[in-house]
Amino acid sequence: MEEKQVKQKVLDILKPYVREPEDLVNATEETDILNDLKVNSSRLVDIILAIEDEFDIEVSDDEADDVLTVGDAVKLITGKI
Amino acid sequence: MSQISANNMDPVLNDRVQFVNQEITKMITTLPVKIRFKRSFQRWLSWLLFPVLAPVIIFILRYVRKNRIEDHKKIRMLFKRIAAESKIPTLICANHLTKVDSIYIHHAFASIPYYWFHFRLFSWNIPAKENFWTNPVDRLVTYLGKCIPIVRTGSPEHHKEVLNTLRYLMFKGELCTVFPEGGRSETGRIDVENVRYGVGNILNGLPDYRVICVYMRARTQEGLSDMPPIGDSIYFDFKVITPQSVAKGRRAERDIARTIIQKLKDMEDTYFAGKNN
Repeated sequence: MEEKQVKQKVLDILKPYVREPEDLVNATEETDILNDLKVNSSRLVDIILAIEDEFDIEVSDDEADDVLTVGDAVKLITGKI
Repeated sequence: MSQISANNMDPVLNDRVQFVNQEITKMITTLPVKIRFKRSFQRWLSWLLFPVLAPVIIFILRYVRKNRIEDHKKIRMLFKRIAAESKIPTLICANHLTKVDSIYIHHAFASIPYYWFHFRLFSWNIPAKENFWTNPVDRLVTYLGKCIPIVRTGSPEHHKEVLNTLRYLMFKGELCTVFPEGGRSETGRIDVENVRYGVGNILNGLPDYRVICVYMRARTQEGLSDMPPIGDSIYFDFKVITPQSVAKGRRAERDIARTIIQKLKDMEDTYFAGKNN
């Protein structure tokens, strides 16, 4: 799977959790999930679980803690599939 | 702190036993001696000054704020029965509408002398540092009230340390109180979608546990506030549950947290159904 496709899937996963859905339109690799997309920090676990289900991968706690931006999520996923 | 033994006949149970033993080992090895000593000292000092501080606070609740807990005797009798029943790790999970909810929960469950002789039942709390650590008086009162401040925007390491400390204290037989919504209910009602999974994280690594779900609300309380309205009587309901999950890791934590918040929501629905009839 190409990095671009992974990014699109990550953005789809994030969609239900962002406060303003239009923020996703201009999201780049550097977009901060908590600060730029205003995702509630307690929903990060749901996002990680959704990523695990979507890509059939396992993410450790330490790896999950390192996911701060959209790019971090894409990098984590591409490194595991 | 001892580990639990496996049952060779049941692979599912063995799996759980293995996981819990790993968690116990992790808890012992990752919680620094310094922190354990710090909390032991805090507990001792809180106990020592409890007869001085607690009457002042109760006086304020009862005679200045004029708040009264409904069915107070019955609540205390039931709590004593539950508390005496077993020393298994117990977590109090409550809805959150005012800044002083934990004080009202303490007051509802037992008297000052009872806590003095059973100080493990005077529960630990984790208030947000940004709310309660602003001046020396607040600091002192929260410290002596068995509080462990948590920085909501803190690092994952900080959050893990606080949750690990709570788990350790519960394992030692101490009661702890948390608010699964993380903060006060902004709409005045429990938001099931807003649950924090930290509560599941605390419980998931324990061999055995129970949760006392508390739904508390001043009769004229509409939304969130700093204190319950003056002169109001306080509706207080509690149920004991043991939320479990067949999943592992984060998924188990999510299941456990969702079970607790759903129970609280059901209790809230019961309250409003009774109020509207």
